[in-house]
Formats: sequence, C-alpha cells, structure tokens
Amino acid sequence: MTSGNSGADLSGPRGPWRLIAWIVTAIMAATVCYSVLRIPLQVTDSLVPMLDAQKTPSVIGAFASGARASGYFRPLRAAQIQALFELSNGHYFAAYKGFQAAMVAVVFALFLLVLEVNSLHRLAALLFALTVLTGLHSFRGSVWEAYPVNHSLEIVAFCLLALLLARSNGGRWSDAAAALTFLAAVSTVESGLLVWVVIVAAWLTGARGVSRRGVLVVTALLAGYVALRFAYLHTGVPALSERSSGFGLRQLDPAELQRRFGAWPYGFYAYNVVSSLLTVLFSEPRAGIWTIPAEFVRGRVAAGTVINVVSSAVTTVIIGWFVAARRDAWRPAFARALRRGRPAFARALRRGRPAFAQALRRGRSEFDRDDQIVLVSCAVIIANAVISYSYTKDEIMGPAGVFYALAACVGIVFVLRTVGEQIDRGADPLGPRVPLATLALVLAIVSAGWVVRTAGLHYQMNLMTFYDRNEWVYVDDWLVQQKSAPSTDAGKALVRQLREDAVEHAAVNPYLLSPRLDQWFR
Amino acid sequence: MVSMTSRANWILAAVALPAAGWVVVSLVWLVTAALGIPRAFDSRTLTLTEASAVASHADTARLLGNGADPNAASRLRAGLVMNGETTMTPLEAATGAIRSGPVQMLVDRGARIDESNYAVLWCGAMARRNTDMLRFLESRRPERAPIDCTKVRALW
Repeated sequence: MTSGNSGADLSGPRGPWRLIAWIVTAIMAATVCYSVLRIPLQVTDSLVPMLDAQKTPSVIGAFASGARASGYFRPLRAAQIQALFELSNGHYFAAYKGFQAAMVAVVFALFLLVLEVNSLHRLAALLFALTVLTGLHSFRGSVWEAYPVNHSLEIVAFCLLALLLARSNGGRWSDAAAALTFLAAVSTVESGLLVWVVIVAAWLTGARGVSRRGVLVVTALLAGYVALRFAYLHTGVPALSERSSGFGLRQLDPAELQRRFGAWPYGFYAYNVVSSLLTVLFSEPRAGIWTIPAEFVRGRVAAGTVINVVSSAVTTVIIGWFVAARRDAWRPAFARALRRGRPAFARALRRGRPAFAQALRRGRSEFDRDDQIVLVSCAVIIANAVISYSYTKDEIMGPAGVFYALAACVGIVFVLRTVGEQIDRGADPLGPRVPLATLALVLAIVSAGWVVRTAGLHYQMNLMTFYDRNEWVYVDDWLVQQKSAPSTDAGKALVRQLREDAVEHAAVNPYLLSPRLDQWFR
Repeated sequence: MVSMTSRANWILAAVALPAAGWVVVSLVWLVTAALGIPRAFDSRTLTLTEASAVASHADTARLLGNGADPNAASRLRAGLVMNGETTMTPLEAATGAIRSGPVQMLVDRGARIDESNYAVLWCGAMARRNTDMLRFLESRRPERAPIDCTKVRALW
C-alpha cells in the first residue's frame, strides 16, 4: 500500500480510536439487527421460495434449478435458501432471520475495516459515515427484506470484502479469495458483477492486494459468466413487461411500460441509469419517481423529503470537494510530465517497456488509501447505476449507497484536515467572508439530517413489521391468487406455522407512535 | 500531525456530535428493549377494540383466535383515535380507523350489525369520513335503520 498526501494519516494513538470505532459500529449494527429481527419473514418473495425448498430434494438440486431459471442466473441464492431450510430443523424464522442479522453484522464490520479508523478525525468521520450508511434510502431497501435470504446484503458484503482483499498485503491466497468472492457474488444475483468493478477499479488505483494475475483471472471468470449465461444457458435478461417501475411522477405498471417503451426501450433504460445515479447522490428521484414535484402537486412537500435531499446534496458536495482537491494528484505521473512540457514521458518511451512501466507505477503511487476508497466508490456507484438499466428500485442501488457512505467518510476526513491545517496557518478556511461558524453550522445540520434519516430507517422497518404481519392474516387468499397454494399436508403445515409465527410475533404498532413521524421519516 | 485548535474542534463536534448522540440513544433503546420497556408500545397489549381502531389485522386475528368476544366493549386507550380513554365495541372503534380495518373478519367471527347498533356505526363512520366503513355498512343496511345522526349516540 502506498501512502500519499490526501490527509488520511492524521496521527494519534491508534488503540483507543480503533476500540471506540468498533464499539459504536457494534451498537449501530445491533440496532439494525434488532429492527430486522422484529420483521416477520414476509409473505411476498419469501413464502414461495420456502415452499419450493420444501419440495426440492437437495441443495445440489436447488443449485441446478437456480441456474436454469428464466431471465435469471442465481444458483447460489437457491442453494442458500435450500441449505438454510434444511438446517433450520423447523425453526425457519430463526434460521433465515439469524442469517440476515449475521449478514448485517458482517457488512458493518467490513465497512469499518475498509475505513481503518486510527485517529480522532477518522472516528468522527466514521460516526458521520455510519449514519450515512444506515440513513440512505438504498440501505433500507437492502436490509429489511428476507427473500428469505437477503441477497442484496450479501452483494454489499462481497463488494466490501473485494475492496479489503484488493487493499491487503496480497499473495496467492488473496488472488484465490478474490476469484471465489466474484464467483460467489455472480452466482447469488446479477449485481454480483460489481465485485469485478471493485477489484479492477482498486487495481487501477494502485491497490495491489489482488495481483495483476488475480485481476486477469477474475476478468476471465467474468467472460466465462457472460458466456455461460447468454451463450450456453440462454437465461437472457429480464423483460420490460416483468415488473413495475417509476417514471417521472408516478409508477408505471408492466403493461404501460410495454406500451410506452416496448418499441424502443433505450430511452427508458437511460432514464433508469440516470435516476439510479442521482438517487444515490441526491436522494432524488426515489425508485424513478421525482418525489418533490410529486408531493408538491399533491399539495405538500414532506419535511422528511427536504431533509433527505439537503443532507444528500451537501454530502455529495463534500465528496466533490475532495475529488476536486485531489484531481491533480490523480493524473498519472507521465501525463503530468507531458502537460508540464517535461521530457520524462518521452524519455520513458525511449528507454523502452521497463521505464514506461516505472512511469506508470509512479503515476499510481499518487493514490493513497482514501483516494482508492473514493475512486472505487465512484466506479461502483456508476456501475451499479448502469447494471440497473432495466428498472429502478431503491434496494438495487444498495451497494452504491454503501460505497457512497465510504466516500462520505473520506470527504469528512478531508474537510476536518483541511480546516485544521488552515486554522493552524492562521488562515480562514473558507476565505475572509465566510466565518468558520457557518461551516460548523452547515455540517451540524447535515449530520443531524443523517441522524433523522437513520431514525427513519427504524421507523420504516417498524412499518414493514406492521404490514408484513397483516399480510400473513390473508396468506391463504394470496397463495390462491398467485396459483401457489400448497397441495400437500407438509406445505399447508409450513404455511400455518409461518402464519402463527408472524401473527404471534411482538411488534410495535405504528399507530401507537405519533402520526406526525410519517412526515419526517421518508 | 494536525493539531486540534479550539476552532477546529467546532467543526469536529459539528460532524460527530449528532451521530454520537444517536449512538447513545441506540444504546439506551437496546437496553430498554431488552428489559421490555416501554411495554405500552407492544402490540400484544392491544385490546380487540384497539386492534380494530388501528387496523391491525394481525392483532385482531390473534385476539379472536385466543377467544376474544367481537361484540364486547373494551378499552380504547387515549391517543389512538381520541385524546381521552374510552370504552366501545370493536366495530364502533373500526369506524374511527384511518385505513381499512379488519371489519369483515370481525363480522365473520360473530360481530353483530343490526338495528340496535347500525345507526351508531353509520354516524360514527360519517363523523370520521371513513368511506371504507360506510361502503361496508351500506351493503349491510337493515331495512328500517334510522340514519338521523342528531338522534343517535355519538362515538367521536
């Protein structure tokens, strides 16, 4: 790992900050786990896969079936559902929800490990970043549902693990682990392709934990995945008419999507990519729907919507400030040499390949760990938006949201360092016209905004608990509508048991809380 | 190393204090939840009347499954629909629900809608502008049911 000068290494005693960082991260993770464990396994997306698991003879059978599903290639997801079903010994809620809570803990731990908290500044930035992580709406979508195995969280964990491997000391085991991580991710769900993006982006920014050979192996696996999926299994891609999607100020159902965009869907795809990008950076639009104008048309823009947009916009500006300040340092050494009219690049070319490679290495050496985090985050956010082209949904931007929180942490460290340095020099950090108190006030408002959004995560998960419990009351009608009613005694017993589990489950009724909360937590 | 002047500390505090406050709140929340406090928020403390008033189909099903009487008046705690605590039947409480309540479930399990209570329910739903309930009641209107709301017991 190289060390640059973006301000990552604010020194100080490492031990206490690291310990405190683990404690606050554990508390934040525990609250999310608590809310997750209160939500019953939902009827939609969970029950039918569990009934399928009951009928499937083995994990291998589930794996094979998951590889052949029309439009999707998710064998590992099917295998996980099957394995947990068989291991649960009838304790389905404990098995699936326990696994989900474990994934939450893993994600938080990896998030902290990536950020390497070793100073007071980084601890402060971590606190901020944890509220960005949990407060961003894409995280809510990623964390609450069970399906009954939460593949969205798994992909987040795989991406963070890939970044950690890329920034490790490296070696054969690291390369092998990177390849396995990629295979596991793409076999779980399509967004697992982001693991490749993380590994390649990290390598391009000088992280050598995964060697060039490792990157080539992962790239070859990517090519193999594409060939397997499209040329051999012919699983194709999801059709336009498969699900609803937000567009403009409202949700369009599959029939309307087909009618409006069926002939030429590329404009719709471009809208989805841009919407997905903007939703992470500015919290608008949400699932493809522009909420501020939509709420304005309905007569009132909710306070929660304003908080979401303002907190995201200012955080994005902070990340942008970091990018602007580091832009020059990121230009490869040889490019800078050319720009300045120095003959270094030409000399390197004349001397042949080793010198050229050395020049490239010099270029990469300008990226320190925080640069790598931000650049990999940018790559993940863009790539996540691109692969979400077919429809927009908050949860599919889950990995992008987590990497956005990582970038926010780096941005805050940069602000703290820059301001500290300027004050030490006796200068006004924002110039003579803007008092420091203004910056402090803005940061406090934004930080408080993210705290409100984090509280909103728990409020919304509480609402989900209420709705999911109510759905279980009418599960038999739903199964008939879906043409999935179990015909066997075992299937009927499974539905009955899950229904009883859900209805008897302890829950905080949202009506016992203030009705005004709905306006604040969007 | 960057020294921490008092002015720089403002910035650091501005960034960290709100989130640190949330961590403290989270810790308190986890501890109190582990101790079962506050119990009043637990939906298992709802009466059938309250479950009906807040449209909790799950709690209504649970309470009916445990043998609750769908015609018995019970507590409707303060703050759910009205500011003060009162007592009423589940169907009467359902007229005050914001969204579609478990009315059909109550009727299926023996809740009565007849001439003795129809007018009270109708006028209660009218007072709360509960269109779902009004539609439901319209389909079960007894022949000679009075609907002059000035002459019946007001629920809300």
